[in-house]
Amino acid sequence: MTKKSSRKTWFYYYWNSLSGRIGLILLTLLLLGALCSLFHILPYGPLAQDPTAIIKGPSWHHLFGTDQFGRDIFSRVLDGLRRSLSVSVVAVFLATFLGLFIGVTAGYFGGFLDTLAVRLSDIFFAFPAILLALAIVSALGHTWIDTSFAIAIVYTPIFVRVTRGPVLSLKELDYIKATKVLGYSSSRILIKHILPNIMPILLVQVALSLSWAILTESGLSFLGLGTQAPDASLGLMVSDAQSLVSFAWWTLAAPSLFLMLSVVSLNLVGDGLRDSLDPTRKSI
Amino acid sequence: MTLELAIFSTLIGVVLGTLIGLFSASKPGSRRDFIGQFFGLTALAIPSFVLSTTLVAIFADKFHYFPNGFEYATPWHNLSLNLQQMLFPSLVLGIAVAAPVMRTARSSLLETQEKDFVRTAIGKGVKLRRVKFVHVLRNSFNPIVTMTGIQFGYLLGGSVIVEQIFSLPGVGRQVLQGILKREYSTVQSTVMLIACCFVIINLLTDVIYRYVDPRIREND
Amino acid sequence: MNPILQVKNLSLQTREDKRLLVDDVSFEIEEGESVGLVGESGSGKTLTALSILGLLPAAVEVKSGEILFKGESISQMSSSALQQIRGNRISMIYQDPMTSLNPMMRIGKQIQEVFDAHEIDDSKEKVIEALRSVEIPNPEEAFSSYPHEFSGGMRQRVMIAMAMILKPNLLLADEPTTALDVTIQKQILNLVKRERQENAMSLLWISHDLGVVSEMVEKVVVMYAGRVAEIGAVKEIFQHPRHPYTNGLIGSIVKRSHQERLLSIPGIPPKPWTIESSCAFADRCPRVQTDCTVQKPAFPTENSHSYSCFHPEGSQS
Repeated sequence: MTKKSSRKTWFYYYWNSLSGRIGLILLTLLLLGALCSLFHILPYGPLAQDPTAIIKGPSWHHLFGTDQFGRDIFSRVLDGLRRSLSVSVVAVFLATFLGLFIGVTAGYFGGFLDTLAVRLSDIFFAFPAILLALAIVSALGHTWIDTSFAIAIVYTPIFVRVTRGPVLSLKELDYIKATKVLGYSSSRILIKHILPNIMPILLVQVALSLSWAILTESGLSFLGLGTQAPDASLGLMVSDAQSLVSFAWWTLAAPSLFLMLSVVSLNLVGDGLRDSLDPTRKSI
Repeated sequence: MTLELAIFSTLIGVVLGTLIGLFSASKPGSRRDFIGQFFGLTALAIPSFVLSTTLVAIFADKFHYFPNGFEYATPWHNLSLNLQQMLFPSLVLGIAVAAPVMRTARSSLLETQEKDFVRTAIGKGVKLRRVKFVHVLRNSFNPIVTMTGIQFGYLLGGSVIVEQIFSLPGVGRQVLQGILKREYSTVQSTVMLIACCFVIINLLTDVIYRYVDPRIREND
Repeated sequence: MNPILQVKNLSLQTREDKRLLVDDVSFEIEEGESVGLVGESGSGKTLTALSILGLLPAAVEVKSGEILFKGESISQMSSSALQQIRGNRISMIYQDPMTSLNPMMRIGKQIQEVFDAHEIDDSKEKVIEALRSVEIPNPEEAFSSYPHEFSGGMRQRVMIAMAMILKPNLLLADEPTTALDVTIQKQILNLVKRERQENAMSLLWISHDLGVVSEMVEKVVVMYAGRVAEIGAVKEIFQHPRHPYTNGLIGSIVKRSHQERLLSIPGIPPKPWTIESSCAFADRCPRVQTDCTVQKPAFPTENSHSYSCFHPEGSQS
């Protein structure tokens, strides 16, 4: 099995899936938007106020209109997107590594460690994501690192579960047992043999978790426990829009649209990845 | 109160989700299926606070209908107001529940459709409509019930945001208030309560299985 | 000469990539006759039978051909029209009794369903009578029991009761004894024989086992790689097989006294879609010659014994 040829066919399957294709395109567009914010290539500064343009509807000057401080909604939305994405990416990154580490070691070495890990993660898993995130954030603080951390903890258990399962069945495979007999060190077995087999399932879960993380982050911001004003965050913008929406519908529409697009694109990417894993089961 | 909300929402969600799942699974890969899956995806992507805010905007501001503006009424105090206050929140949560239920229903139905006994039923002349509902649907319930249990449990604490927006005194909101006011003992006790409920729900789901599937009954 | 079922040039393919699965199959079943459809797994025999009642899996579709029941074309029939025939004029019993009954419905109810489906008065007594006639002990109790409370052999009896209860003209039996113990097998075979006699029913018995088939039928249709290899009366086939494949099949029974998978012919059957222009058996045939590999053999008939071979057994070359 040469790496090159298998990677080619993997991507071919992925591209074949309609959902995967749409998802990837959408996601790329959104990422580009977020990057614009990262490099400050925005039409207006997200914090820049313009008293002459308060509550203006969408126009060529302001693609998505302005808010009560005269700030350009489009720029703020992109900035908020960047923030939500970065918090989510960091959070899921942490969750993946932590979950992977715990899941694989627990599954592979078994015993007391394994039972402990499973019980602990089940306890955390039992709580609704928002609630758990709320509780943790309240203990930690309101900076974006705290939010990332909280979300990471919320989503670690599912990574533990997702990685542990395959490890349990994989370690019973004959060829794994053979490597053990040959004297390979455990870490070598884990890295070279077990990990590549978990990769696909892991990637699907990463995509899905990213979409949930974005929802959770925006939920937290909405409640006022995430990003703080005057910084832009999609959830915060929706919260602000509550009082404005009856005469300025764009203040609600813009952040909601981008939020939904992010979640949809990540879900589609996840579906596409799942299809490329197992082309016999088609979603659409 | 959270219980009432959770029950309504779960009911709406399960019925809606199963119906759409049924709709989707009847012709996999067709336009119907596409619509069904599209619904599932969008329902999943709309954050509860977005949907709630939109509903509030439309009904409260445009039509001046906002039962949740009044103080919360318990069912035995004022049933009509109570039900009205439940309307929007359960709709919002119901849609959120419908999405994963629909996915589960669809895949479970598709799997059952391929089973041998369905072929036997068709082969002995049973009308297709009956086959669909009696044979296929009833045997697909297992995973749907599991998902329902999970969703219900999730709603008990996870409806914080909706409770906040619609000013409903629920457990989630209590936790939130406790956090905002730094009353950690409130937070602790409420969280404990939620955890207990979750365990009870899991047990209940098991009981429902026993009732629905005669095979499991035997093994007791 | 009143054929109750006529399969004419039936071809089946996969719905997605249009791969040929069954190629130009034709045979007839006379009224009251019992016919065996023999072939190994993958020969297309089950698919052929399923297509009679329109029970093909979603992945398979009819490419061409016709199926006539009592002179009427049923392959073109709408679903609702077919529904009237299923279970009523034509019934089918299947290979795996463990999965062929609805696990969540009581046995009695499942049989009653047949009555309801055809708007006939259902009565508990009739069902219990049916259960009794297939030798199920305690039929009253069995009526309210669930399938998982029964063994495979019992479940197969239930299926037979269910299939026969409206006294169909034709029964399609898809290897109903393959999944059962040899001793139970014998009982089921006798049961079907008896039912058939009592109701003057035509039978299509599908099997990979020529030995079992020979007990049950008067005429044999041998299938190989999606095509018909040979058709003839049971005695003819056994004494004067014309197709080399049939010859091989018979050879394997005579040598062994109990049914086993075909081991004596080296190689494996080809996939039907890969042999467009040659004889299906060419790569394994001991009598193969050049013309066998370049075109599909014709299907000559002598004395109601047909075979598709250029150089059949008993001929010069």
